[in-house]
Amino acid sequence: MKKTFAFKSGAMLLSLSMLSMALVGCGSNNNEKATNPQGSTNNAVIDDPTQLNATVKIWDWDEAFQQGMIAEFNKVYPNIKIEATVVNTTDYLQKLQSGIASGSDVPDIILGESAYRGRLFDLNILDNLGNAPYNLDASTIVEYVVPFVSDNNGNIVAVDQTLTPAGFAYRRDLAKQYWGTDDPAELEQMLATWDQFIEKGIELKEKSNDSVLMLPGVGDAFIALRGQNTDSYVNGSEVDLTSKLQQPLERLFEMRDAGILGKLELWSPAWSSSMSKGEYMFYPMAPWGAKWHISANDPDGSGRWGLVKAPERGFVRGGTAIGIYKDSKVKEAAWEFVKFAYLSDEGSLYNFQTFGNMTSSKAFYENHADAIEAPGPFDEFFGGQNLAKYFMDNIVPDMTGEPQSKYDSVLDAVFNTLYPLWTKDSSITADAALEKFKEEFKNKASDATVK
Amino acid sequence: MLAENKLNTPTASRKRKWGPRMWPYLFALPFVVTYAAFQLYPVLYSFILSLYDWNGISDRVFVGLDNYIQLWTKDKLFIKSITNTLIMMLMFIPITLILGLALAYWTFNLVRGKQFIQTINILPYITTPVAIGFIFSYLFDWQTGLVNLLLVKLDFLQEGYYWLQEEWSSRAIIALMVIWRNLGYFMIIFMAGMTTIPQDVYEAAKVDGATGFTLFTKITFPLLKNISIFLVVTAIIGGLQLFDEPKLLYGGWSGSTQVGGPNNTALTIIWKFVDESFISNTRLGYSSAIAYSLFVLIVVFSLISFRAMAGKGGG
Repeated sequence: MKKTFAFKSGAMLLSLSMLSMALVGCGSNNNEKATNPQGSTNNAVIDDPTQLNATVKIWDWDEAFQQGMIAEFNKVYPNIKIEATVVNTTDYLQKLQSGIASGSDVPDIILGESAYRGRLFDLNILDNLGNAPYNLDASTIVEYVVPFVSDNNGNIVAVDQTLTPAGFAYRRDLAKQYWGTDDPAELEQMLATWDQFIEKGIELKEKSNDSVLMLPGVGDAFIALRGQNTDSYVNGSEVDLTSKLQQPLERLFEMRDAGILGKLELWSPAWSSSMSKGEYMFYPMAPWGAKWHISANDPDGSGRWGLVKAPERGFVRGGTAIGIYKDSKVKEAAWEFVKFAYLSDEGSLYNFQTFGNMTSSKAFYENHADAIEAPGPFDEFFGGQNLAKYFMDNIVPDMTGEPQSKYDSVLDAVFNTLYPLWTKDSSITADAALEKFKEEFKNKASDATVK
Repeated sequence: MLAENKLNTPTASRKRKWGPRMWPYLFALPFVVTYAAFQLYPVLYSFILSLYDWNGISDRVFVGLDNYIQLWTKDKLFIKSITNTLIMMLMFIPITLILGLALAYWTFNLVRGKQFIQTINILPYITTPVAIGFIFSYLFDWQTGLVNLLLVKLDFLQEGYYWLQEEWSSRAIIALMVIWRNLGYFMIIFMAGMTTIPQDVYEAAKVDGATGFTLFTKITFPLLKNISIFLVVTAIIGGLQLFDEPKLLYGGWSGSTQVGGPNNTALTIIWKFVDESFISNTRLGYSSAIAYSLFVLIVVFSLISFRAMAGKGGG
């Protein structure tokens, strides 16, 4: 009898506790949403920001960066605790949306990588940084960056994590072997226009007996061509693909038909390993590419790489926008961190010297010109060329900015789906490709009118 | 006798309400509550959501059945995803069933090495789909895949065949992945069914002069009918939900957002669903409509297959 009673009461207790756990799980979300304060009444005028007391949450994929920067930040702002959670770029937006929709864990500082930046801005969850308490002045930011960090209404809603002007990384040994020179200035002259680029490409192909080509694939070439056309192509839900893509596609197919492009797909293992094999001359590269692409995939290749401007002008590749969540309860503290890490002279100097990130704040380049002159972490890998200086002096000046749109990721997705077919079937023409592009785009973005 | 009388009086029955009769309900309560909270409620909520247009953050806009109408009449990709899924199911379900049965029969009658074969065959089923996706996309890579290298070396082809970007070969590779993965599972289930067949039936048949093939067709196969029905119906349900294999075959590399394979021939219904809600768009209401349409499809197909297989013989 005793045993069954104990058993029964134990079972009863267990079932009641499971029941209560289930109910608690359901109930807590509603409470959180209800207590979210709308205004910033808690945040009165701060006399000394360095004495702010708060816990700020940030989601980032670059753990090393956060660890280093947070330590530096805490030297000046000892009472602001930054909690960094590592979240992958591929499911960042999805996790963010789930978090907001369910009212649970949302970071105060949100990162928008170029792959989903337009969609993030379109969600309208980032605060306007031109207003109080941020009061960010657009004229202090490098000009071409402003469209990349503004939403559809022209308000600046984010800070650029690092400048991402891109040129072509090239193999010095191959350039010297087939063109007789590996000097960036001379190469810039040699490849000043795309026509010259194609000519030189044909020459390279013949001289090397097809063993060395200009670019690894259609995808790489398109990154440059698409990025150079920065005119807006979206007007509300009207998408003008013809004006955006006609010219890049024609150029792209010209290159493909001339035979100067390889057949590799972006990011595939074959593409990654081609860098060390010396099968291709150029790879599109932004400042972060030195670390994540070139030196990562060609670890023994120190000294045999260089950087040159792409034909005609530079283009933007990648980039991440840092914004602050509209309903964050610790906006001041979050802004102090963002300001310190990505805009202030002090933080930018540390950022540049440790990670090679270049701030979008114009003041830094005037006040710390010597930092740019000094050798960077990957300069030796690039044969002693001062990468930061080359980017700032040669590539940035004639770059223009591109307004972001939620259709950017659709465009990328459609391109990624279609370009292997273009590589495989050389009978497809640029016009046919454009028509197919429009068709696929309409399938994916059924609410848009496509021209 | 007296005790029974006491138990049947009105006061006693009121007391009994909280006595032993309540225990079954109380024990079932945790599961039912959890099920209701985490399975049933989301299912009902999704249906309500499918009547709205929502991106997860802004306000919901009621659109009624507009999502369904747009889905079935205007969305060509959705119809294409249904045909793709059905085609791939036709490619892998019969093969898996037949091969699984053959393998099970062969293994069942093995004298030695039975355990070994069973273990080897179940390994693909417990391998994580992500790894399988990577490996298959490496194997069939155009420029550097092992399959192409072998074929070129053995002079079957001049240049590598672009497996992953040809319409039918992409479906074939996905079917291959599914077959490879599920063969062990089907084999195990069939073998479990075979153990229930009494041996004396076989002996009696052998006495009457039946040989291997006749034994199989006249005894084993009919007696496995219930297992076959179970496997077919679950295979159809699982097949309609095909998602892991195609997505991982095409989305393996980081940064690649290729959805649907070449010309959308590998796009399955669930892949379209995930694409609409998380990858290319954030139309949660529209995706809920896709999920519900799939639900209806699964119910219809499993009913048809069940009736077709069990209806004739009466199960």
